Amino acid sequence: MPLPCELIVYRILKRNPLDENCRLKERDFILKAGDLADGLSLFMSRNAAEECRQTLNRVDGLATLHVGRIRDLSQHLEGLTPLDVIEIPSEDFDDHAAVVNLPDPFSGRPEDADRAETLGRMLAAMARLVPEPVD
Amino acid sequence: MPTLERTSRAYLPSVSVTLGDLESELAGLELDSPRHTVPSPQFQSFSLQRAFLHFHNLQDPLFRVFLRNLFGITRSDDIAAEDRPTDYAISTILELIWGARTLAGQPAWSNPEVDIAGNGGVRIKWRRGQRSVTVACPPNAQFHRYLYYANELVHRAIPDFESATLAERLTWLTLPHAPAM
Repeated sequence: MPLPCELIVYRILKRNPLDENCRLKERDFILKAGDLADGLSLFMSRNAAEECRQTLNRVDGLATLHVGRIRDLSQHLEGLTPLDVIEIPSEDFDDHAAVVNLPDPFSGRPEDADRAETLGRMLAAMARLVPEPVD
Repeated sequence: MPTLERTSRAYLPSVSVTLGDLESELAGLELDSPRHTVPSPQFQSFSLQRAFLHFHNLQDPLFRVFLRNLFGITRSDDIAAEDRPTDYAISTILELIWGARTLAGQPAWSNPEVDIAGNGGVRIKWRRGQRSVTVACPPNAQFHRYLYYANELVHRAIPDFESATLAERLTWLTLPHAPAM
């Protein structure tokens, strides 16, 4: 089911998510090899993202994204199947969702790798790092 | 220094090496921990020729830093087991980068950011101002590696690139006023 445009979604980040300029790395917003069918995993609530994060080793934070702005990215790249953000029911996690129609960078097609990297940069630029709670 | 012969992929040293040679080279790495002075299981699975190809250039301190960073991510406790780079990814990236560095020459070499690509892949990124060159290598031969370069005006990806293409892009990074493409 497509998520409403006004929703804020959460992306779990790997260790060392910031580059030397303290910007989020595009790495966390590009499909990994073999992940085409799953899309880019997201959570619809911070609680669900934090619960998932506790079960994973070696992750280092959360970033927020705006669903409507993710959809808007499609218009910046010609020939791209429109991106969507949909709910993906999961047996393991609550409130699971994904960005779908992202290109597979490892497909061997230059346009896929170009779009995947460009979209990764755009997603990283629009994402916001969630501050860690102070103990 | 071994003589080099041109292949379709890179300059490969036309020498044979023994495990003892390789261990000597590894001992010279002077990595942070004593446990790093013996070959890890990762190293032992490399072909000796490939491994030697990467280690015989250790006189260059910048390249040594790159090697330390690259091998560091294969051992880092900060990286989940499923994301640790595979032998295929490491050996492919080393062969391509060593070849590109040989072709481009030392002045074009600057140390890149070494990172994981997830699921066993590797990402290497060079930056200079608004220009960047990224190399992404997948975990196995089922997928295609690619090179992506960009500046403020244009961006382009090249799948299944060879060392010569990477050398050309590393040189492009160093030009004071690089043409768009």
